[in-house]
Amino acid sequence: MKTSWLCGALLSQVCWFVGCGSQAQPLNPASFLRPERVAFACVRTDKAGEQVPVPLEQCSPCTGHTREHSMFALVTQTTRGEIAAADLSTGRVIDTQSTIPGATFVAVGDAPSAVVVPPLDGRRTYVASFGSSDLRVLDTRSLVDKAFTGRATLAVIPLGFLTDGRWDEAEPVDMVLSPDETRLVIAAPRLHGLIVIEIADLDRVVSGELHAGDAPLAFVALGGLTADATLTTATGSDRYQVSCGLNVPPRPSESVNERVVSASSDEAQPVALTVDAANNRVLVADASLPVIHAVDLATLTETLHAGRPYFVTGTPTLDVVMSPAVPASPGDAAFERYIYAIDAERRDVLVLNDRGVMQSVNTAGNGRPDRIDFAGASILSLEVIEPRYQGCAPVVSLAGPRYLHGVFLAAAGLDGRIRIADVYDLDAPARCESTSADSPAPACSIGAPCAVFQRHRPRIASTFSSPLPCAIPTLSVRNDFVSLPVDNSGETPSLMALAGCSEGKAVAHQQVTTTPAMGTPAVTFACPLVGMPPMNTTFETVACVNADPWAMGAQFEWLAVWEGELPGTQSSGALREVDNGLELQADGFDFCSVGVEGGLKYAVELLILPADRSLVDAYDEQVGFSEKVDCDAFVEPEADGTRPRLAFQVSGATANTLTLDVKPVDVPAAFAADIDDTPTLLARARHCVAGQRFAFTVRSNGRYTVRTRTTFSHRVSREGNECVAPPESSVLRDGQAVPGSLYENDSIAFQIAPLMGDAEPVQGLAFTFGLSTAPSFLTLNAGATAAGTRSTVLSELRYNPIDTRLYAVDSASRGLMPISLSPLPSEVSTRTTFQ
Amino acid sequence: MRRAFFIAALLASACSFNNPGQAPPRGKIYFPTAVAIAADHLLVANSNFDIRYNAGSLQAYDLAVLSEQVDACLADPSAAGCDCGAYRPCELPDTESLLAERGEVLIGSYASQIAFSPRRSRIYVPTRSNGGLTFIDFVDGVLDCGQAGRRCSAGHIAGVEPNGQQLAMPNHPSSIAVGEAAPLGLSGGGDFVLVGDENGSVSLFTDSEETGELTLEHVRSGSAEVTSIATAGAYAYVATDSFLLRNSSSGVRVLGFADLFGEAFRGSYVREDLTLSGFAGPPRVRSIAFLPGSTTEFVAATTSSPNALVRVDSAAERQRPSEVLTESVVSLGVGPSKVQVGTVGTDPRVFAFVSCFDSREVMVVDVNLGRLVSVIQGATGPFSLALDTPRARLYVGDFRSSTVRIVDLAPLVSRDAVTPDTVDQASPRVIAILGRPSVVQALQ
Repeated sequence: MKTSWLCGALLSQVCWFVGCGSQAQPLNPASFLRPERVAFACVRTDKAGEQVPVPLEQCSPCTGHTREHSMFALVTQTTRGEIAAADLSTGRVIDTQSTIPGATFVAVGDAPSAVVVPPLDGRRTYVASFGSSDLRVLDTRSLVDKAFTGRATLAVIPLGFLTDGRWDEAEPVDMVLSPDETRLVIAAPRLHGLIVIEIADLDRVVSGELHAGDAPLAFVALGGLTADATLTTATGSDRYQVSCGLNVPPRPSESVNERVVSASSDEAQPVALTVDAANNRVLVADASLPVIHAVDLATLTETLHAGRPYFVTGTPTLDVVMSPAVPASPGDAAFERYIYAIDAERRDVLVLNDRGVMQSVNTAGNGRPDRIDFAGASILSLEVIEPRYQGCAPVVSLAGPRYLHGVFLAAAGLDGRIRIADVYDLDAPARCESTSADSPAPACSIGAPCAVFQRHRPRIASTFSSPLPCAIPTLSVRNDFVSLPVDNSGETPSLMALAGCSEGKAVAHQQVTTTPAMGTPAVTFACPLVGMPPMNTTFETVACVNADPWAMGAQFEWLAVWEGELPGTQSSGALREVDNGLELQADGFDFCSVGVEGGLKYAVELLILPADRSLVDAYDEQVGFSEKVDCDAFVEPEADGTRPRLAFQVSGATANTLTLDVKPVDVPAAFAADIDDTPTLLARARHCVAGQRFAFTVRSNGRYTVRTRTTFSHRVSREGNECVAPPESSVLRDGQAVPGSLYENDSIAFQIAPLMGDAEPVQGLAFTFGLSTAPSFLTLNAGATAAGTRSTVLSELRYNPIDTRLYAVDSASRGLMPISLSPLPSEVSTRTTFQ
Repeated sequence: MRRAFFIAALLASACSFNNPGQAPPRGKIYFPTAVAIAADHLLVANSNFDIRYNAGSLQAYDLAVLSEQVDACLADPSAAGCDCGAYRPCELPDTESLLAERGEVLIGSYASQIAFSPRRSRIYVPTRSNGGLTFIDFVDGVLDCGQAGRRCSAGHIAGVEPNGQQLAMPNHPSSIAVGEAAPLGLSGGGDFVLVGDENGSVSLFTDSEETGELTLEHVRSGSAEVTSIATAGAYAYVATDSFLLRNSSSGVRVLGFADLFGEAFRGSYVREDLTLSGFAGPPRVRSIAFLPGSTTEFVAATTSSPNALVRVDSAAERQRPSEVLTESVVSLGVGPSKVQVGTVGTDPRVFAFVSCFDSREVMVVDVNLGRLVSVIQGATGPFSLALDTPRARLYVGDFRSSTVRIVDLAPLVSRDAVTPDTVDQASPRVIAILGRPSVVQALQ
């Protein structure tokens, strides 16, 4: 009885937990079926309760928006061939047939591919359908007003041309409205061109004045590359840069690279359109030809340059968008406009200015300098977002990187993430305190927020992470024994001085109080590395990194290994005694190329790998040596756990021969008594390797070997047969660091303090200077929900300038997702989506 | 006690342990799991899913005869053999009359797929009930598997018993592909046949033209369910999907046959394991099909993560060695099952047809444009697909209703008759149903 009571209680708890918990999701049957495109309409409810479409601007909070106004999103449903309306103010999807179970929307053609609502006159909605190859004129009220009883479809215009008795379908894939709202422009890849239809003619069809089949369709053929064209890429042309308090060097002066794009016999395949209102033209992404077409809306002809399409991209493209005019740099009177397109072959994003010059936008070192570095994501759709850039008075705030005010590029990836790249940051002037009126990159004092923004670079989410004033990638320093905590307060004046950063420049410094003390200024370009003054050599270990936050990956890591091996020096050679020393000859090996020079900075370590580890009877008549040799002594760990070594200092180096000091710098402990008897030591070694050539490696001697996991720089070159480090060679490439002295190269500067007293580091002790908190790019995971991650196919991103939100359409699972831009969330709540 | 014994004896007497069971009626379409087109015939493999009968079956319908009957029904709904309603496609309930005299054989239950070798004029059907590969010669519309009556002889079923190498085909076959062996250096000519299994293994058979023997040569084990196999030149692309092992095992495995047909089987002939780039997680691949004329470009139907048709070129530049770039992605309905790629009529465009079992749709995608063209509805359980390019028709094996839906694809390619008033009807649609729909409630 007691057991059953207990079970009952337990069961009730389980039931409560499962069924009544606050985490339970309400049952919300999906009403959208494969949504793909979206447009917006503003509707006012009049006194009679009728919903009347009005100009989109009337829904703006800046222009008399009232409670009677509602913004609707009209969403294509490609599976059922319908258009759905979602009331963005109430969060409801409009069911146009309440007598039918489930949501019913207004039917259109097969696989609708584009929807347009004229912003100035939203009474009609235009829908182009790929599957049925038609254009439909809908009464917008039929979409948004449940009480509407009239005819929803006002006209159906077949899209195609009758040629020699054959009906050639247009199969539209995209449609835009001309800026003056007089024409619809439709992309027809199957016809290799655009179809243009006048709104006035559609009105005549609706009124019955004109038969639908007689509606005049203008056709704009898109040309190809009939001759080779030159693709121009400007490097360093991007002047926009905001880097408060950081010694960011100016970008390289502009240079131009050119390459030839071969003529192509392919036919044009227009797949996406965008309106260039400033020039009254339409830009056309071409999935077949390596160009972006520009079609003049006044003349309905393709704008050509030297007889070929205006914009040469060198690759076919899948989507194209354009930015508004933005200042070339903060406060600049000059303006730039940019075109962004998805590379059809790589699915990354390329950038051109409106003069057709490709922009160099990427320093990630991935061989794609003219692509925005979205970390290898496959991009599905693009949108330029302009929150508070135009329209209502800009609200400038000193907020974090998730608050987007200005002009940005949003890119939706196949992985369900939406990435943001900077175009123009409205908050830039407020982020920094100008030191002078004409300073292009004003500095800010310590404690003020710091920013590193560059145009066409992904925005770094941690730029303003609290409480760090400058939480740009932080440098971590650790060694084999301790993981050193980092104080990233930025208030360590002594280190500031040490780092040589000029007064007034804010530099985030790091310092640890462990002995030996570690200080790690961790700011991009924080320290002028060359000419850094000598550091306090007593107890300080400091480091300063010079890295482009967009260029470094998780692999950015430098190692300083005490008496570490020089990479690439493992080989084998013959060792022989010569006057006053030894000579190691390695035929076919080039010591100069691996960075070995004379001068006792190096030691050669012989690798004795006995073939037979039993005691070996050895006899050497030349040195009068006869004993049983314990070969294990060359390989078994010493009593203190270290590895036994037989090593000699390098006094001279030629291409394939090293001259060694006769006295070893290291011997196995078992032979320590014979450290002055090199012939005997070598006789033992020779017998243990059965007379074979010695395997060896070269390591630094009394120094740290400095390298990354994959690279090692040195300044040794070959002069004649000698390996030398010419005085004129850059000291920044030396792969050796001395305790208590400054080491610096192009990427990192550091000083490792000597150990206390006379202590010497253990051979192999490694300091790792790693950027352990690499910047996370600002993204929104559109698939993330409280219940886990759902797979998405983000078929469209659409910015709504009225409510300043970004709308993502996921055709796979999540439907229409309104996304706030101030701040950009890291995920979209299920409660706010229309599914 | 005595009463209990009596009852037990009475019950036992009711069972006839020697009863061979009931053979499926001739022409009965019953839970079809595979359809294919071979030698201008529509092949239908009936799985006998609920074991109502003592065997599954393979049927061959002459496409000319079938099309003639469909056309007759469309022209005159009251024509003989037609059951046409005002708001539904015509049904062709008398399937038996549409079969040739030797147009049906009985095979094991739970057939998984059909492969046809035009070189050998031979059909291969792996079945689960006997864990074997049934091979059936198919010449002039006659199915020949050494049948006595309709049942295939044991001599036409390979891989059931361990052979001289102690090899037997694993007994949950899920997919099959056939290719010509001669270009790969296999002596004796003939074909190779690959059978994928739910346990992840791939069985390799050789069907020697010289000896006429179908021999199980090798069984390669694997960990993730094989969902689809497609051959391309010297390689076979094996789609794998494992929900439990999805993080490591979903993708496409490429098997290289140049190694395989060397002097000795090396046992390890996996050339590479491909994953599709860009997705948040590895997509579960349900089916793959190569584009016409290509040995590197293929489409893959993926499920759940997300439901999509993905186009891939394995020869394209890669960012990582095992990761192939996803060239295009088109979201699909729920539960993508099989994909069929081809042209329709004389139109050069390449279409992909994807059956979506759970959402009861067949999606039509323009492969080169990467766009959904049309959604074919009207099937209750669309699963297997067969494309009749010359006649512009698609045959959809409808598992739930035990029928084959016949879809007219002509509207995809020919709009000669379209007017503004008829534009709504200009979409591919089911025009006829082979068999009488009999929907099992539990499967709805």
